[in-house]
Amino acid sequence: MLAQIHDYSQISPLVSACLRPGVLTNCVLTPEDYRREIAAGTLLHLQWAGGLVFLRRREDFDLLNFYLNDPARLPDWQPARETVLELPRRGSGASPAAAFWETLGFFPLLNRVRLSRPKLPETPADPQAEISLAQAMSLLTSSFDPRTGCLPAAEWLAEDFHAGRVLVKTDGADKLIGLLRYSRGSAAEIRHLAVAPAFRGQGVAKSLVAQFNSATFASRAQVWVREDYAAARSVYENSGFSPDGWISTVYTKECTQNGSTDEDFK
Amino acid sequence: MDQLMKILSECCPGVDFEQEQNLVDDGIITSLDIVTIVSEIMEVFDIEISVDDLMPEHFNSTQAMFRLIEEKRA
Repeated sequence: MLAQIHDYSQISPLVSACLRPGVLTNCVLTPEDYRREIAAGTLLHLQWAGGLVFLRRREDFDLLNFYLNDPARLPDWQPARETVLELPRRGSGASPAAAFWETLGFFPLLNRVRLSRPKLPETPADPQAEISLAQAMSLLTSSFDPRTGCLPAAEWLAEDFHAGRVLVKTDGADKLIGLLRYSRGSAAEIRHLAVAPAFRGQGVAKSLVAQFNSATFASRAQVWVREDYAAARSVYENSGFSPDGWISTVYTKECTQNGSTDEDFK
Repeated sequence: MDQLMKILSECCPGVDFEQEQNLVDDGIITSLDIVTIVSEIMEVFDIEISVDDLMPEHFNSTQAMFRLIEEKRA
């Protein structure tokens, strides 16, 4: 049965119990991720003899992270809402967890490839235009599928603004025409790059990636890009990024009438 | 240290664990590799490693991983 996580102290015992040889997992959540979801009341979990699932609740769907110890043991659970999960892997073969999720009715939606860039020599950064949070959120939500776009909540985007992790391009009259949002960790990672439709093909994305390179020259950088988005790949590959061998498949499963309901949550 | 080197070479073949000092920062191993490595370490060394320990600084080098193991065994 799905249960909500109310306290961060619940996390480690659940995860540690799954950290056994042969465990399969995807997109590991950081302590900060867990804390943020718990604070928002959006973190649920399901534990069964074969593994552990975390669901991060969004408005119309759930995002799924898992630890599988015994893929032969299926959970007595079917999603009640559309559920999306991502299976990253090194190399072109299928993820060892793919068969498990396909057995549960998940199907592949799209592939992403990871492009990486080494550290760079320092270059001067452009001054940043000022735009509103609402403008930025509007461009992001109109540019990405909420199920697969990893869109930030407004308060998370505000944190990124405050920390200087949102780079923007305007038309000179305060109209936002492009935005690049990134994170800093062991590598700087481009999380979103969006250009307003009327301004595509005019070098806006290339300019934003150049700004990103200036801002993050001192660290390695990476970005996940859809395999079929040739124009986006070209921008990155002309800005010092190249494929590093990591591929990811996004899977989805639409809800079933027999799935768990909100009333099942403890 | 020999046991740790054996785990690492089996989990991530082809990586120079003796020389590399920025395994995570340089993208040589990922968070998914860390989960695999930690699972083996917990089994072989009979120690408990928590979610809070899964930080890049503990896995950037063989020496850092060995320090984490020693800390957990103390």
